[in-house]
Amino acid sequence: MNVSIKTFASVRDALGYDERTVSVRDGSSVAELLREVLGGAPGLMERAESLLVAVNEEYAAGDRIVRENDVVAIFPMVSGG
Amino acid sequence: MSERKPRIHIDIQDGPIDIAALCERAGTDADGAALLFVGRARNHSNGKAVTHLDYEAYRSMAVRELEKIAQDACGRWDVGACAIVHRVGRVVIGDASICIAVSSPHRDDAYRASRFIIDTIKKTVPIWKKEYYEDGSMWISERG
Repeated sequence: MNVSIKTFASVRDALGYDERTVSVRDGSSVAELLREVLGGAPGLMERAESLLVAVNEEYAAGDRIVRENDVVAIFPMVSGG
Repeated sequence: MSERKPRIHIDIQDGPIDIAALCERAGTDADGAALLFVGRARNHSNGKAVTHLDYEAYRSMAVRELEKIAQDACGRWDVGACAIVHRVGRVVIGDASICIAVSSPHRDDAYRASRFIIDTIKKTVPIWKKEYYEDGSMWISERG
């Protein structure tokens, strides 16, 4: 199934793209998706614990199951204000 | 707690914030206190001179999160109006990066709500600050 990935700030800088569609196996969790997406970026996997994930604009935990066409955003701790 | 429906205004914008216009959004005739918080770009950070800031947002989600925070604040305190505007893009030193205007019948609710709003924004709203120095730049979330 296809899932849309969005990245922001230092995660985007490390991955080199801000949007991409990835193909993952049905029933994948957010944690599994993260391993797949971050795997190619040196340093990001080590920081995975500190990263935040939102599925369809709502914060999601690692055990959340992603579905076809979900929009999964991956980003660092926020620092607005 | 009041029966009235609070007036909420949320925006994420490029370019300078019109603080006077924002102040006018806060304050219904039932409110005796209107409070404005302005977050400004500071010229120093952790002992380093800062030349300017750059903010990035996951805009659609950030608006949703700001709305949730405003609703939450209005549920916890007697707030008549709440306006939150956050800037994105380049912000020069001294400019406002965020403005929060809150009004309430009595000042205590406005002070508490305003403090809650800015503290929660810094934890949950997907906006990131990048500091620029003479010799480079850094995403602030990277500091850990």
